[in-house]
Amino acid sequence: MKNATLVSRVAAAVFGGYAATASGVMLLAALLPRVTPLAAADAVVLTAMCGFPAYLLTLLWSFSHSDLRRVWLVLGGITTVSALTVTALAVSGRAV
Amino acid sequence: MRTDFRDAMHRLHTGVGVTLGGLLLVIFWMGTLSVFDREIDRWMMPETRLSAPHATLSSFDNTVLPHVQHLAAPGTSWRVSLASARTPFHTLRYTDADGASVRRHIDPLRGELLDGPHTAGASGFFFPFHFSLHLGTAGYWIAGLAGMAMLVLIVSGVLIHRRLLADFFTFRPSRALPRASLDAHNLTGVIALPFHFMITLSGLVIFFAIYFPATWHGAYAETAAHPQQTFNLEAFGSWSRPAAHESVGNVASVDAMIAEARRLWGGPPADQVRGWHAGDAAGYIAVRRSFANEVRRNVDVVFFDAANGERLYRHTASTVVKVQRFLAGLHFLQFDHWPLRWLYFAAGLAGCVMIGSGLLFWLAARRRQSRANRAGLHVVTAIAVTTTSGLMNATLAFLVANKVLPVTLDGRAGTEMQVFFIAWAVMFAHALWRGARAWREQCALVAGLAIGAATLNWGMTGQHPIAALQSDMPAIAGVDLMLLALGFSAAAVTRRLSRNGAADG
Repeated sequence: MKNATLVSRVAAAVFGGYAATASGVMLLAALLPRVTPLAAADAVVLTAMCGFPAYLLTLLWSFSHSDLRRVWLVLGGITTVSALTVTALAVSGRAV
Repeated sequence: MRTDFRDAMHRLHTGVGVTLGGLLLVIFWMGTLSVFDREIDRWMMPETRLSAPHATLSSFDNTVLPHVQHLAAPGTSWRVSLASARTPFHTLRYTDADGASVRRHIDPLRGELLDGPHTAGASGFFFPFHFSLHLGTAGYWIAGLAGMAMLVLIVSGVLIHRRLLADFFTFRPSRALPRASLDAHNLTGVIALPFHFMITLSGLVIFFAIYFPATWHGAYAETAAHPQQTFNLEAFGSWSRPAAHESVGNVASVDAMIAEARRLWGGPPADQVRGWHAGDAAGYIAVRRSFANEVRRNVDVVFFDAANGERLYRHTASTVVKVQRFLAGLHFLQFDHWPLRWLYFAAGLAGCVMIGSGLLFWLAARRRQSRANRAGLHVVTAIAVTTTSGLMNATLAFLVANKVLPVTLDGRAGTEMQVFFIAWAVMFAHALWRGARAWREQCALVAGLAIGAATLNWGMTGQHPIAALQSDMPAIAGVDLMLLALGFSAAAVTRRLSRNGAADG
């Protein structure tokens, strides 16, 4: 593996993987109390706890998937969609 | 399983292990020592070696409250951890008139302030080292990254094995170093695998609020002006109210608050009393239920008005929070159970051996390759030496400093910690200078320092292990016996290293 590829892969897995996991956790914590009877506090604790195994799987996938560009695209896509949805939920919630 | 996937896991296991193995070893070592932090505290603080604790606690109002009122600066908060089976004294933490945080110990029977403490002790040095590396916020994140790396190492380590069970029953200590260290790595890795996965995952789960800090923003976006405070109140009962900025002389009976809280809980004792806004008309006091008889770190807290003793708020955790607190309790190990405590200690040491032997295997395998990068190898060897025998020597230097430094020394607790870091830096410089010969030399120093520390304890306090056992101080005897065991095994390893001529490296 060339050095630049290695740096890109580590960055994708560690930082991209964290961004995707953390934003996904935030989205689930926002959605669960809205669509299920789960209390907001419980949703936060539950999703944040599940964030660790989710990050673990993301790391393993990012390191083992052969197509590095696809890894960046998937992680970036999850992050963008989650962050936008959470923002939209927050804005619409405040408007109501 | 596809071969390219296994290859990827193999590269991942090696890459992460070599870069973060040293850091993981430090975290595992400090965590393993923290299993017995209260016992090491009593070894380091001779003034707290009180006789066995008492079945019933004496009056808080008579023995503790006068000190709180006298010492805690007006408007500040304070906290008292009540005496228990492992700590036969109350610990008072308060802010003094100069704004400094102070820790004092109180004899629960006589209500007198004990001298000292003249040291941070294991609970003030090894324990925070374990999760924050004494680096503040950055330290929590580095430890968190190391925790995730550990999970990656565990999973990739299992996946690269073709024969997990066969490797488990294979140990060839007499074989050449690469093979023997790989066997030791596999043996300790497999035997304590469930423990290592549990302890790492639960360690991360404890700090979920640090590692996923934005989670409540989504969940509370529309319902609360202060998402984090609202979340902390709803999940963990962090009740609060602002100060009235109006002083009040009267403090209600804390004994009555403890009795009322115990009545609400249906019997179990309290283990902590906290106060906010000392001496203020809006001051309040919280009583927390003890964890001693359950794994879960409960959040059963009852809040009272400090001036009139009226009950203000009682928290009971939800099921999801109870699960989180159970995982935290598995990790914190604050329940009273000696066989389990020793098992945690043994599994923690197995973790240290697993990480250390993994590093050794990589080094030994690289050394046999003719094309290996010699300079890089030298640095990784130095790091491996520094995080194994060097770390033991720094730890032992800290314990020896605790016995040698005069009690009257200004800033003594800080000096002890400086001794740790200076000794560690010296070990690193020594390892860089001596290369692989540093193993044997530092191992000999471990033997000397460990036996020296136990001897110093005998000389300064008169409590050699037999005397400690006779005066009902198993904690002191236990620390001394562990030091002697470490010292004699280090001496045996030194002899073997000299005989095998492994020093040429």
